[in-house]
Amino acid sequence: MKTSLNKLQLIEDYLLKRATPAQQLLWEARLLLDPALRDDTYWQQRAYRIVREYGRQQQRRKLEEVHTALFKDVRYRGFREKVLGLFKKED
Amino acid sequence: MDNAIKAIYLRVFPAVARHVSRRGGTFEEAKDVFHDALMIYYEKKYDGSLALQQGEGGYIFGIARHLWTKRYAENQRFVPLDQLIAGFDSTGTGPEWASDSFPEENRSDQRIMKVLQAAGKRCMEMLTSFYYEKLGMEELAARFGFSGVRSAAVQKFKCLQKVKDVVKEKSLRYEDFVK
Repeated sequence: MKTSLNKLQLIEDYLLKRATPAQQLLWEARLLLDPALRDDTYWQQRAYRIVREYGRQQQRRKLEEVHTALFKDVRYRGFREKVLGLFKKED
Repeated sequence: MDNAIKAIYLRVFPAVARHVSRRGGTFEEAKDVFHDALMIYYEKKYDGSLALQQGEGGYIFGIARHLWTKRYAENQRFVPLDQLIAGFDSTGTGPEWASDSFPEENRSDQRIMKVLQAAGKRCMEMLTSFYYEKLGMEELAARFGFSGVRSAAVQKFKCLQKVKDVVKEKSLRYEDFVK
């Protein structure tokens, strides 16, 4: 377990640019020579992308929640009327 | 409901709505640009790359105004968030997130996300707190009830490994299938 956590950490340092420039360079050389490591790095990068996408969806959900509450809840009637009033067509 | 978001909404949305309505936009369009502006604002805040010169409200209004001009004047209603962020300034979201992905990858990402949502909500919450919201290890440990940063770090990596395994397994199957 420990070794695989270490490997995740090393790939992470490389992908998230947390390693020193010298370590980055060394890692790139290792990637060129080791197809398995290249694969591993690729899947980890996909995992980060999924995590970011998940985070964004959660964030958008929070915004929607607030929007719905403010435009439905009677407590915010003043706010709602003020905003919706801006979009009324004047004859 | 998130109180911080609510406070921003009450304070800033009327100004954004006024701006959009005066330029012939609809309520829905005002909501869309406002939400995108908030997404950008929060990502910058999480990244620590927020340079506030005029206060939070003015900053968010500024992004919304920029997005309105860019998207509606140029008739580009649906632009991916990465592109919006990149267009707003040059700091971007960092090179670690490959944005030049292929459509097959994106399609399988959507499927994988559904699997992960069902199978490991706590893991996903933990990973997004760390990698998206960029919480520090101590805050992460406190939020998820770990005794210390060490056990939080181990659990975070176990979760990452799990996501990596699911991504690999599901994409290989799906991408083989669509070929």
